[in-house]
Amino acid sequence: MEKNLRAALAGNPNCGKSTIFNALTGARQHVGNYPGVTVERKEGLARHNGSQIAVTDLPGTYSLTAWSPEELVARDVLFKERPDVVINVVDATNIERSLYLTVQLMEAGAPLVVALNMADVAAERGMAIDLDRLSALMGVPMVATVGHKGDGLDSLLATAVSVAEGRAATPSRPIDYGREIEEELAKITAALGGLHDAGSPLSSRPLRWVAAKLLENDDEVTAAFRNSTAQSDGVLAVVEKSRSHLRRVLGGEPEAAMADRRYGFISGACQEAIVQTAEARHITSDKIDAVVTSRVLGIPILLALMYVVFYAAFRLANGPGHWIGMALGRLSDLVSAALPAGPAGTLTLRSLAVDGIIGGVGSVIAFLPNVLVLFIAIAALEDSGYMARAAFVMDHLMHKLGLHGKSFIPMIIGFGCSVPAIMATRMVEDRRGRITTMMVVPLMSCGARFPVYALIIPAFFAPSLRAPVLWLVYVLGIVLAVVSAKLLRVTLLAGESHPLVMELPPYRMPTARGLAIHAWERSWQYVKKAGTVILAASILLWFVSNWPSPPTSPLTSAKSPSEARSAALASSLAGRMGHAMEPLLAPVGLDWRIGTALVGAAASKEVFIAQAAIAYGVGGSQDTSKSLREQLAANYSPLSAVCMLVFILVASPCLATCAVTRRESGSWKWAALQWAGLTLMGYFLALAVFQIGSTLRLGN
Amino acid sequence: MAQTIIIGAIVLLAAGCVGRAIYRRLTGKSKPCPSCGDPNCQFSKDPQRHCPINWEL
Repeated sequence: MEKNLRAALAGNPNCGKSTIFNALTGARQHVGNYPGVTVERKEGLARHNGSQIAVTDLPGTYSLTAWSPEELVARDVLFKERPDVVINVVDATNIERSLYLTVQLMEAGAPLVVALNMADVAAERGMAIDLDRLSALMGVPMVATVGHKGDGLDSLLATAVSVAEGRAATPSRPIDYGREIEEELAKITAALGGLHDAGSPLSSRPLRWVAAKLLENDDEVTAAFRNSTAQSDGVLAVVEKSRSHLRRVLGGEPEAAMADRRYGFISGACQEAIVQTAEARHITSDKIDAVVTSRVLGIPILLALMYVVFYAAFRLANGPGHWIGMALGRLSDLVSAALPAGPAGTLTLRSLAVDGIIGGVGSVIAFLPNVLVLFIAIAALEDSGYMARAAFVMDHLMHKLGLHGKSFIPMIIGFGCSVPAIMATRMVEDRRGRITTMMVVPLMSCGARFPVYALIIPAFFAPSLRAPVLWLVYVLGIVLAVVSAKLLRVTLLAGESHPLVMELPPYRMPTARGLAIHAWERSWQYVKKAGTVILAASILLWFVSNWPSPPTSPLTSAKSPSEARSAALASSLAGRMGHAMEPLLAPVGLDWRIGTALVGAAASKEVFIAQAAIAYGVGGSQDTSKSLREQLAANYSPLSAVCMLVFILVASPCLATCAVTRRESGSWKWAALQWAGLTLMGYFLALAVFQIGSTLRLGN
Repeated sequence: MAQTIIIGAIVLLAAGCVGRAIYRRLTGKSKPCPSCGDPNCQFSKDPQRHCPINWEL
């Protein structure tokens, strides 16, 4: 029995669409008009293997906005007539421009097949298009055609019939509009909620598409929505608020930024799938990309930029960090003067305030300027569009190692915090690849580890070596993550990787407002954490570091304050725990005091600083961070410091990371494996560093 | 004596706060996402900003 299908032919003007239409339908086409507009459309019949396909030739358009009658007609056909398949004719010689319409059709939820027309001319111009790869990256079936010769048309019709019959369903790949826009889209989508139901005139259109069009201030959708429901005013108020927020943050209209992201998606896909051997691309972003994403210079540039960021984080934060330390020293003096003193190492309110709260929380707060500079630099790299290039550059390396290209995006997010990074692994579609990524994400140095590095490195290394050492720690984390992922992929979690579009949005000058918002949010989170979790943890750590008190004897009372403190710590719960760990810590060059700090760091990394400050009793000093560094330098060798850095980098992901790994993997097994695996790896690496370093007499 | 009672109360309060934070974190009962406020925030897109490092004591 003959099947009747309806197909629409969409494409840019002059893309060869009419040629394809004529070739498909022969002499059977006729000309008709859409009601209400004077735009011509053509209809004809094509046959393929027992299927009769009514083909509608849509007007040539560059996009699906509502700026021209042609575009409105194209939309009407898509949403009102709902063809079984949309054949999108793409000019292979102008592929990036042509794919913009493709992306919009994808977003509109059209059942799509792409005819990559004029493939012969593109090849003559030096473009080698990997069609299978491009198709997989875009998530749309693609067929190469040469309209005037009739090449590829049978295959095109066969694919179109498959799509129409639902046999060639492809996974949808929604465009990622970036943090700011996605958040506003989520708000609008939530506000639309039940208004986008079966009775609404927009119900035939995907919810996300409607939200995006409202955000883009699309006349047709906005008007249709306004007329559709009495509650539209509330939603439109949300839209207007979002638009005005985006204008402030992005420094331009949201629709322009959204178009940029679509072109970024296309540009990323084309860079992956097309080798341009002859024709040069001239736009500025392409010129920059030619250098920063080049296979030779890409990774060195990434490493150099990381170095600059760390140099800035030390250099620029030095002064403010010192001022905060001095202010905390003054505060300690005031509190000490106000509260009565007791014997060193005993439980007094003065000791709680000075050693526990000011020493613990204050030593963490002292690193706020370093964290601030780091996050401003990361935000600048993100907003400028460079981070997308970093992921792109690493994607090549990951592919070479047989890993999933998408995995590096969560890893980059892991520079901020492992928790959202593990959540971001949802973008990795296959489960084994996703679990692999989750397992290694904590190896990327997060924002909580950074202040610990900022404490330890200046204590042991000359100013000229600080940035290089910090850079090496971060690079070591990346290398270990990549190597560990590779090991997991060939052992426990073997499997193939899938293709990915690494979006390359155009470069953009970050706005001061955007950077200020990022910096404020990050700093506020850091201060809030110091004032909540770290405050409570510091009080507890102070308690377990001072209780039970040592037995009073004439000998202990005769000791100096620092010796008395040491005796008190040794007899306390924390001290006993630290001593119990000493047989494990001694081979890696660490002692029981650092052992107590490492136990605290298992809950949250910054607690390491708080506990070290409590253990060394620096709360009453004039500059807490400086004094703590002096104590560390006096008690440990540079080699021990390297072991500390390695252990903190690799071992025991924090509690929040373990919890989110359990939730995202659906099993405590993976969370336990992550914690145990990384802790053992950290320990044995530190052990190797110390033993080899000691044998070679390095840094003793 | 008064000093010991005050210190004991503060330490117990801190222990309670830390214990509660750990319990909520491990059981997934944390408060809504501190960045976007959405209790069902899925961090689906570019979640860098949504770091829930605050345990909402």
